[in-house]
Amino acid sequence: MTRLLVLLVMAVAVLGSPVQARAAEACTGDVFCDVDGNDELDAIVGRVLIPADGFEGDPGIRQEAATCDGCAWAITPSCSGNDEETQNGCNGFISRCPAPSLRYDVLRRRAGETGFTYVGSTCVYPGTPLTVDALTPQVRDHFIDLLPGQAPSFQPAGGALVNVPALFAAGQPASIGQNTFDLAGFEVVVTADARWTWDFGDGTRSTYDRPGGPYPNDDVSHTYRTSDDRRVVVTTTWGGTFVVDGLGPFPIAGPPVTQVSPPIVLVVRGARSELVEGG
Amino acid sequence: MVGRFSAGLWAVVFLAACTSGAGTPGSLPPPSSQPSSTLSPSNTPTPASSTDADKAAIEAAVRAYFTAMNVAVMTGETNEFEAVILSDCPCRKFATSVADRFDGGSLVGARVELETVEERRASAGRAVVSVAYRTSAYVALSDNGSSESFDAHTVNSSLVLLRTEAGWLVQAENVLERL
Repeated sequence: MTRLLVLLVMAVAVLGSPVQARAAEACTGDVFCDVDGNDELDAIVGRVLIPADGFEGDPGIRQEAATCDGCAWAITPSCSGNDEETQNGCNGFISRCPAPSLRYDVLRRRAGETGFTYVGSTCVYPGTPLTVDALTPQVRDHFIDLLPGQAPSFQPAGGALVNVPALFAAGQPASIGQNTFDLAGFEVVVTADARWTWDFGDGTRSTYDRPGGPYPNDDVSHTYRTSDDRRVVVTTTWGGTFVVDGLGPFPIAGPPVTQVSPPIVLVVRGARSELVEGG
Repeated sequence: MVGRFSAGLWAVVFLAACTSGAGTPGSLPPPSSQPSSTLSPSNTPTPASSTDADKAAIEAAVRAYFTAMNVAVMTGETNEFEAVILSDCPCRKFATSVADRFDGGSLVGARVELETVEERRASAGRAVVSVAYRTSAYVALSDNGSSESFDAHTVNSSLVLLRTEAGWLVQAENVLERL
């Protein structure tokens, strides 16, 4: 049985981390900072996920919030505290947010603008990740769980012949298609594809965008020139994107997700011609 | 779950710009001559709107808040500031801090300049207003001769105001961004 190894190559990718413009920073001793009633309401600079449920405003705002890197967004409670007005829909809001969510105002400041502009409101549940970057690690965990394992094989199963192509298969589908799951109240759709890099054991390495398969599939084939026992290893590198509540697609950022098979031994024999009696 | 609502409500956006000036302590420049209210695009919702009289009163309360803030940081006198906020406003800490600074010391060059005011929502008794303002660089001098310098900042805040018998008063200021 092939043992699967998922390697997270930590050194490769650099995540675009969300930038939080925190009002409380560098505020010690400055009397002007002491007007602030809530340090948790600071603006989020970067890509913001505005929950679709209960959203009131131009639908295009949600897409802009998720994709505008240069914008600052503030998502602040529409009403202060858990008072009766909050429960009754925030003093005139036309829809009430289901408990324990609360209605939040969505404010936008585009690059170069001075102040924030009110662009809508939405229902926010406690602990909801409000940025793409905050949600991405959770998506990535699900993404890794979705990946099929390797089951590498070759043909002819009894071994290959010198100067005769051998066929290889990673034992994986070419794509996992679209997978949908719920994450922190968001509907997440993940799409993934892969590349396969084969080390044929004779100093040759080749990368394919197809997993290969049994005869007559010759997507992955290799011709050995000399006889020997060859240790063949296949590495699968997965990439993907995800869509959140119809917003995106966003890349599944982070180190590449790779699977490396243990070596399979392929015996390559020499072939010689031999005359046989004919009828 | 709550259904999706298409909010075809109109919004009133209240914009008023101020210019810097060397006015007397506590004064703020008057609202600009730009139109003080305009209809926003129809797809930008505001759940409740206020009358013109309310809007004027709310903006006046916001300006009074910043005027009183200026009086406080320029003179150390905080009574005016405390008169325009509710007793439970977290912003009361500002008055306390200013009073502490002026207890044998002073704030040199401290000033606040209101730049924009935008009413987000108002009902009969509550209003939420977005403001942008600029705080100056200043030096805090203490009674022992030491000093502490602070940088200028642009601040974006939400102000929550309540209507009381004394008029519209600030219930809370929530700083969104301090640049």
